[in-house]
Amino acid sequence: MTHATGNATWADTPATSSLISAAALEKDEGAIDSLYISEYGSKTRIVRPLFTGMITSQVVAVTADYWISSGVQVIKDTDSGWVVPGGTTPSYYQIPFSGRLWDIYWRACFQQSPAIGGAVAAKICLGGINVNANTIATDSRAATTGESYPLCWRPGLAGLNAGDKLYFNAYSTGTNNMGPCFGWTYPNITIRDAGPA
Amino acid sequence: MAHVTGNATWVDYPSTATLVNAAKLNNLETVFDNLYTSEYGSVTRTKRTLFRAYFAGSFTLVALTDQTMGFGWTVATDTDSAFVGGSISYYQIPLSGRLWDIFFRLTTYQADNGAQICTKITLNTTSVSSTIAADTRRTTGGEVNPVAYREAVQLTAGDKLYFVGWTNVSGGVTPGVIFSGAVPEMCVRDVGPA
Repeated sequence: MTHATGNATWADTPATSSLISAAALEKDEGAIDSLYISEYGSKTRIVRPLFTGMITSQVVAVTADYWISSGVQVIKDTDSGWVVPGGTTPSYYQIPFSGRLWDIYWRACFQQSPAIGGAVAAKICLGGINVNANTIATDSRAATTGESYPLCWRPGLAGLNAGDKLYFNAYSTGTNNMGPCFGWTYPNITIRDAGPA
Repeated sequence: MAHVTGNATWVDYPSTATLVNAAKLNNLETVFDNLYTSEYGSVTRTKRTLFRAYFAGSFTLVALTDQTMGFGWTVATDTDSAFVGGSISYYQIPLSGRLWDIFFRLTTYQADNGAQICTKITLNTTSVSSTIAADTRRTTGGEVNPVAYREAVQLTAGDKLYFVGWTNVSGGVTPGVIFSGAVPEMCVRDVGPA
């Protein structure tokens, strides 16, 4: 039988028929290295990149395009990729390294949505804050006049490189409050490494 | 201390107190084997199965017709060469004993307000009576993006997944690229052992 390492079944040592050779031990090392690189992106990491943050207290009046800036409570940020320039300047997540696939997720929570016929939306933009030029994920929900949760996400997205910046947008056809809903339902952003590209 | 392998803590070798015996070394191999099998589906794989494709242009989704996706999809990732493109395209599950996240989204932008656009993923036939994931969205007079998504579905090697759209917007709709980078998209990925 050949193992994941490529080694044959071992025999007791010392033995003339089976050596604990450098090659065999290197295969063991190689199997471990490959697992770390595949799972975590490098041999020196022990966890995949993950960012998740929520807007737990801030309520903002969204009129047309609104960009997430301050107010995000960081729950987990393995690579310190969340950047908050401050004030109303849009915050962003900066991709920490290349060669990986990414799940990108952003859910806006509207406490009320526009009158019937209107809509609310959420977008993730790459490298800028022009929704027409930079959007890579979007969702829209028809207005209900009540709660509404546009959720944009893309699974296993390829082509993001170290240094790429992701911005997060909410949109409403009228002026409507976005923020926590029904207690613990929060606007939330999650960016996570989904494995090797 | 016992390790995942079941081995006790090692001492330096050579030693008269401990043997580098076959059992211990094979315990190590078994741990690697188990990890590779759990994470990737076999001892010979180095990554999980993943398929993702998108539509780079646009196409017509005919009104009041269950329309199975066909030609024109760009394959971004297909680790197991399991996507079969044609007039009726499908993804064929490459491994048994695994759980799968399945995802199909259409992105549209059109003027109708108050109708519906749907997406479905069907299993082993294009009939929507065999749907295993579905979504429907009311049109808004702007963008509408139904997402059929289901997590951790157990499927078997050889199973075929078809991707189906439907609308009752008069004259049909035109799924395609909107806002420059939001695209119709399919994704099937292994999420671990069943």
